[in-house]
Amino acid sequence: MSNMRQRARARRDHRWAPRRMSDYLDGELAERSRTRLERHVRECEECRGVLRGLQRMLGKLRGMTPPSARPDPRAMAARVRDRLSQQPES
Amino acid sequence: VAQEVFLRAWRALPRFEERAQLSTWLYRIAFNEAQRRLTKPAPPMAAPDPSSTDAEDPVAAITEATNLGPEARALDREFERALDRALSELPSDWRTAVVLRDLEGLSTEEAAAVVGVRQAAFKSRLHRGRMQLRALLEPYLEGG
Repeated sequence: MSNMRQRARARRDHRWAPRRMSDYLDGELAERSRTRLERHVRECEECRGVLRGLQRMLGKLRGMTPPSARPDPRAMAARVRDRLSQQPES
Repeated sequence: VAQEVFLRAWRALPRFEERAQLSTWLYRIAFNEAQRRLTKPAPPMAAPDPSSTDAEDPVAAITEATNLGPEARALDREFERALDRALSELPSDWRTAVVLRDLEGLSTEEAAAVVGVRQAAFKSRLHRGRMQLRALLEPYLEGG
């Protein structure tokens, strides 16, 4: 492939790749697209940096306790106080 | 919000048709309740009760148990604060997508069902949200 064609392909892939990174990291990209993205990321330092940043961020987010499972000490304290202040039902 | 969600779910349980998973159905109720509260005007703030400060309240002082050392815990807390700030800067559709998929751990299919949009539309919001979040959190992502 001539240098000119290679540069044109690299420019096209540079516009195309970032929009597929999310699907790539979720394992939801078709094989052909995955190969194309991996080839571009090997060649392009900028896209490699973006993909690495996304990967690190998702690793951190997925290692965190989900918001729905986080304890809320203030709310818990308020509920305990409410229950304690309620008169037992007769 | 959680109490209201479970109350609504309990009342609606006879109408649950098992076409969706129970967890997806609960997330859907939570999502609707959160949307409803966000569109309501904020209630006036209650005056603090001087007899019950957090400092004196042993229950309020409970923190999440963790095996991390103090330095790692501080870094984690710093990242969590940065994440909260960054999430608050995202448009709500993008924020919802990131929270459901990446923090709550729902699949794309489940999260799209909770929000009530097609998977393709959901993926687009998720991708935009992730890209903006990555840019906002960049200083916290370097080196590992």
